[in-house]
Amino acid sequence: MSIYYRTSQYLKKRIFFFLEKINIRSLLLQLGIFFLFGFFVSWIIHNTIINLTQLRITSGLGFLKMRAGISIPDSFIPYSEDSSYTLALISGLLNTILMSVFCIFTSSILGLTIAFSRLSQNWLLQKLCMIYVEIFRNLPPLLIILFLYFGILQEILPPVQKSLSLPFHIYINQRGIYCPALHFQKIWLWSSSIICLSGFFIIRRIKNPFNQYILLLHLMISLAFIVWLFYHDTFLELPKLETFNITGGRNISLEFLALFLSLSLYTSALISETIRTGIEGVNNSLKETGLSLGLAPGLVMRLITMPLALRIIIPPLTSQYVNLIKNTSLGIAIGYSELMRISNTVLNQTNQSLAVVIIWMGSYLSLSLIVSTVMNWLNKTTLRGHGH
Amino acid sequence: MDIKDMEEQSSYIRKNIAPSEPMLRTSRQSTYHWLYTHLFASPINALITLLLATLIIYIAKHLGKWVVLDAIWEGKDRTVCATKIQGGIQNNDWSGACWAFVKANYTQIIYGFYPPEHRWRVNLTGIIAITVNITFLMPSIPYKFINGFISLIIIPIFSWYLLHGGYLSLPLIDTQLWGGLMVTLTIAYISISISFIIGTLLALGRRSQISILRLLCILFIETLRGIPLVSILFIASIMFPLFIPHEITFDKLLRALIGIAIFTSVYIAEAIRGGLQAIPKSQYEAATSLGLKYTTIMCLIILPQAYRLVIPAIINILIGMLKETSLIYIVSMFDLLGMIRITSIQANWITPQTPATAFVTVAFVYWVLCFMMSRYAYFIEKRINLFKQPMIRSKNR
Amino acid sequence: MKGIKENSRIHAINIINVNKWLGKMHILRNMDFSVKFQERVALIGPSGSGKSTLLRCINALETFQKGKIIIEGTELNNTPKTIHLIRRRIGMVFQKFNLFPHLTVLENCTLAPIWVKKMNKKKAEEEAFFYLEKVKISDQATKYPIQLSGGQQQRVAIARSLCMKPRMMLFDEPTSALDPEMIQEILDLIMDLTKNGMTIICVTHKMSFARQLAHRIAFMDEGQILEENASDRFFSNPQHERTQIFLRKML
Repeated sequence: MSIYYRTSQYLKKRIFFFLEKINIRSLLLQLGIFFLFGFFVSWIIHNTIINLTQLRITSGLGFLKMRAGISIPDSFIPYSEDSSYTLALISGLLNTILMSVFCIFTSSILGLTIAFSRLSQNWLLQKLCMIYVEIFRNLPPLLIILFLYFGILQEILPPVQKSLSLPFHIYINQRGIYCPALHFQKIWLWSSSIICLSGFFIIRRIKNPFNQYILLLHLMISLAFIVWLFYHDTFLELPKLETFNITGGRNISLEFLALFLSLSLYTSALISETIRTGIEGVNNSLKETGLSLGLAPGLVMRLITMPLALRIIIPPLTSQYVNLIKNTSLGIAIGYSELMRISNTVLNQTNQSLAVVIIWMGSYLSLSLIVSTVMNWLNKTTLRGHGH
Repeated sequence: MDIKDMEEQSSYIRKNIAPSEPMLRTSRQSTYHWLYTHLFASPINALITLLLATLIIYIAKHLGKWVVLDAIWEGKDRTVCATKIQGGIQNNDWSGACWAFVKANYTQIIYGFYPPEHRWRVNLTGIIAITVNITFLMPSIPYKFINGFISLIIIPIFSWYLLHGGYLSLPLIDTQLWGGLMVTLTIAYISISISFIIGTLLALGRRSQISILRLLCILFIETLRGIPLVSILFIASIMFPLFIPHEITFDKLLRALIGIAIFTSVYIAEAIRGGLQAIPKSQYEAATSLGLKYTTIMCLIILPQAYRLVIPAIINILIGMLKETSLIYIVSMFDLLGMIRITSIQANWITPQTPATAFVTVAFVYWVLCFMMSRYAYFIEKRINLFKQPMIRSKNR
Repeated sequence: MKGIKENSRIHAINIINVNKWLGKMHILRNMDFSVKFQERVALIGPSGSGKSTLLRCINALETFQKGKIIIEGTELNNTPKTIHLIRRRIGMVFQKFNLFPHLTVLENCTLAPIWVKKMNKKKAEEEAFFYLEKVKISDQATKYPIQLSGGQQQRVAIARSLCMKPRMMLFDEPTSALDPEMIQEILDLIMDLTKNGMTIICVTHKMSFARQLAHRIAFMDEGQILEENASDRFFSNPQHERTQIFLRKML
């Protein structure tokens, strides 16, 4: 049999197979949907262009270089009103990230504590934590934020002249908390991030995911401690109480405080529920087996229950974290300068809605993506021995 | 010891079978024992108990004082709730809830600026929606399909026209005038029905064989899941008019409503997808082998089962949505939260106590609504688990 | 009544007048039972008769309302110390193996020695390999439980209990979750491991196994022991009416 013949047979077979697989009907359907979608999109683009020309708005990214003139009181990076829109947006993004990190950290610890308290033997502690959870998870986060900011903090905190002074040169008043500022050289920042990264790689080698989780939290605490140590031998700036003002030091604004506290309280209630259902979802007989081997209840929790519970916990926990990041955008309601507030101001000033919306989407989507990636990585280690 | 020896003595027969006795109330069940095991089992436990008890007493004392004892129940304007320094009648160290404010403004908190002579329309809508939904929500009542159709499609359309008016003899009432609890509930209810339909379609689209449809659905779902609702509301209020020809104007409230509905539908789609995945493949195969078409299989066999599995998850999403309707305050529309906020800062009522009182009131309303929904979800979940048990058992075998 | 009067020195397990209620159900009724050192006892009886509950009470996995359980002279009470002491002496093998799914076979076996006996990891692994060798599964040591068959999993579970070097073993229906061809394998293994004189209580539905393994058989029904006898006499000449009915059904 000639090669030619064999090839043609092969081709025939392939083509026949291909046709059979593709199915003309579904091909037509796909094309139809594609054109419908394309038509829809082009219609929207067409309308947008007409509307924009009527409103005399030129789109483009040129506006990013212009002077912003937005005041950002609690900016993380050097920023003034003369800075550009780009810098303003970056500052907002950094504030969003900062807020998210703080809230994730606090609400995780609080949630874990509450979850364990609800499983404790102490009846009073159990019920109190249950009430806490039921109160906070059934309230809108925006309400909690407004309540805390307008209803409580603004009303009970004294004005600047009558600031509450606490030990270690900390002052509390209506403008927030003033505390000694950390001024350390950039090299400490770099070295601490290197320590953090190396710690991250050490963590990867630990097998027990619960220990890993705890270690991650430990690492964050020790990092804060290291920074604090360095701050001792660099230089510190104490806040000074004057008649109408407080100068120097670091100001943690009331908006930051209100947003941070309320999101932490709200999310911790949700997280504690997630953790509790996860722990309760672990097969009881496995706990009993651990006990029958002579392991103390605490050890059973650490070695058996928690690693298995994390499998159940991590996927919903990831979405809690993503939701938390999204909820930081509620800072706009009380004027905390996070991404949403700043970009909304930018939008109002420049009318560049298209560009601003793309910046929103890009920033929040990438933040969500980062969180999911980290959590997925953590999840992979918990799924050892689970389905092969 | 020789085992053989032991065997010799070990024969034993019980002649009279011991009867089942009721449990004796021994010391283990006494009140003292309960207190010991539940509160004072160890020194640390005892310490925690005492600390918590002190905390509870402290909070209860202050809260009770603020909410009830020192609260002001009657009054016409801010003077009753303000101290003398602030231009009121109370002593300078007074602090208490200002219920008089809520009492004076409750119609505005419920109806917003809806004209008083037309408020019967709101009441009528509420009554109809409640009566129809009670029958829909009770699991024991049959005809769920028709009921669902009325609840989720007819009622929203009907209530929109009844509230908005502008035809027959009903005068048009602009949504600018709507506000308060009424807006919260209307938005929540109509969003539920829209998001339920879109969510189902998205879930089916994400699992469809047509790859381009699947791709579009995944893209849509994942994008919307990653961005906050606030940004969607801004898009709805600022961007949406750009997308459509400028001759068409869309109501502002309706735009926000659609934004919320689409945002929710993405989460509902994910929940329904979970339900669809939980349906065993044999169900599809069995239905296909009967010669049914895709639409028939989905509508009559797969979706009813999937819905039943995911009701608790969907209700939890809806609780989240009810909470998030409050965000329309940010795009300056006045739902329950927004309305009470602007009433609490109006000149004739503004005092240091009013915001806190206002927020406590709103918190109470939201809490009751959400708590009821979560209890309902819990109830349904327990019912579902009752049905589910045999299914799981047979799967394990 | 026997058991109470007898010297507790020769008894590994002494159960005196134990009563357990679960809600309104009276699960164990005036239970009197004792097991001597190095004795192998099989508990048989219809399901729901309280056999497993008895085992779980002995291992302090469940509490009882009335009566006493004395294990090697130590009375079981609810203090963590006693419970810990007793659980270290007793190994238990469950019906559904209950291997920890997130740990490898080897880690399953070394977990308790490392954390309870504070053994160092290397030694614990050596010992684990010794027992895994004994149950003929040492070549699977690095696998996860889900990768093993039911029979293999049960063998690992037995090895895991043996790693704690218990003086008594409780078997709670060790073969009922297995495929028929696996059962004989596990039974042989248990027989083989217990030749050296370990105290054993085994709940089983396999009469042939009970006959082979046990010195003594106890028949339980309605939360009490209705008949107990040396194993050959128990099967050849059952006395109690209910035992006769039960055996007729099973054999």
